[in-house]
Amino acid sequence: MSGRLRSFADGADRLEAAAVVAEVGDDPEGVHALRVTCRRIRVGLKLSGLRVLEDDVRWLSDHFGPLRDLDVLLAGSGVPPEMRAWATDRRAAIRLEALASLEDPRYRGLVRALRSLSELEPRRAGEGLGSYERRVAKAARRFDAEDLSRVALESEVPPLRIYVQLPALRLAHALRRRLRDLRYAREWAGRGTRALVRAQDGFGVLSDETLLVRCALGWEADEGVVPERFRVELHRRLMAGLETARNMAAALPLPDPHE
Amino acid sequence: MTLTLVRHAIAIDGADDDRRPLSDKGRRRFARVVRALARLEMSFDVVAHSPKLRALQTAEALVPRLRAGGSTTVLDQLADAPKTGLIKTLEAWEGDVAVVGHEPHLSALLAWLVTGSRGDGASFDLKKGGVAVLEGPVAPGAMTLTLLLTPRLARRLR
Repeated sequence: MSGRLRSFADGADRLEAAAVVAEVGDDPEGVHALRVTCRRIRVGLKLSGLRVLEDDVRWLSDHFGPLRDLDVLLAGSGVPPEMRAWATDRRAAIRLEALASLEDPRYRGLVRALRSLSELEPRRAGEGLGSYERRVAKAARRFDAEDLSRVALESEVPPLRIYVQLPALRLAHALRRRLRDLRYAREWAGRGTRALVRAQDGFGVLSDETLLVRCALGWEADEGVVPERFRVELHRRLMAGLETARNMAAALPLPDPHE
Repeated sequence: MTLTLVRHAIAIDGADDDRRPLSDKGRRRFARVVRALARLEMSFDVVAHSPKLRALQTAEALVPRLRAGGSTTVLDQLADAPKTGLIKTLEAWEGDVAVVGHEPHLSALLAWLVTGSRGDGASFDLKKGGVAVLEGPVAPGAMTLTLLLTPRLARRLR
């Protein structure tokens, strides 16, 4: 259920297969596969020069976003038992809302429309790669310019909300998304993606930790108390994740901005 | 609400009805309809369309008439005869909405919203690439037909 899409019709098949897994129960793979397929389709639509369906794919993906966040939290290590219990209850509540989207005429229309689209020729997809590469290069430069030392040298563990405002994390997240989109664009163009997959994995660890912070904030908003030990652990993991991301960004094979 | 019903432009014949693309002539003629809509200063908050390729491509041609922050949406219901579920979906939207669909379903929807009877669809003749504009609350018999723009008329609008 993973790997590059051969066509938009293949995307429709994958959405339906992922939806079945998501509907059956607690296996997080269905939700994950559904969202990943949505992202691959969106990139393919852009490379095709189509604006229609983009909002529909985003609509579907957004319905499953909060569910995916909680799945990452539940799969995470060191999560306090009380927070895990909160996440389990919350997941059960929002799962029904997410699954309702699969009964919507918009979802049925999307799957049917994807099957009606012509193939995206790799040559045509390749013509659009330049803009994705430039976006990655721009995001990498901005991330590289951000001074991480003022974050890493922070002796006191700050309140959780500080992390979501942290420019370094925001820029790392933006770079990760652009790397992901470039990877999918290269898939559509039939090009290699190994280096991008490696980089995406490196950034993924940081992304998961950031997500834990967001979930912890959600728990706090529901009057949960994040134990000091877990906050310290999160801080350590975020700093380590930022360092890894910085190293990954430095090793990216990027086009020369002056070319 | 202003509801603009748009019949898909001329398409190529084919065995798989869902996958019939617009013909060159269809694209060319509908581009003139889009220009006419621009001259009439018509723009949309939502462009909804059927999942069939010819409707999707017609909707794509309407994208330049989307307002900033506007969205497109594909609805399986627009490929079939109009039912109450479609009215409920349309009701939930606000602002200026364009709906791209097929005959005879689009005329049936038009008749339903204007006269209250789906069976009066044959009284309205929506050409391929034609546009009908309705105003008022989205409910059977509650809307008023304010403009019927044929592709030929669109060509004459300067």
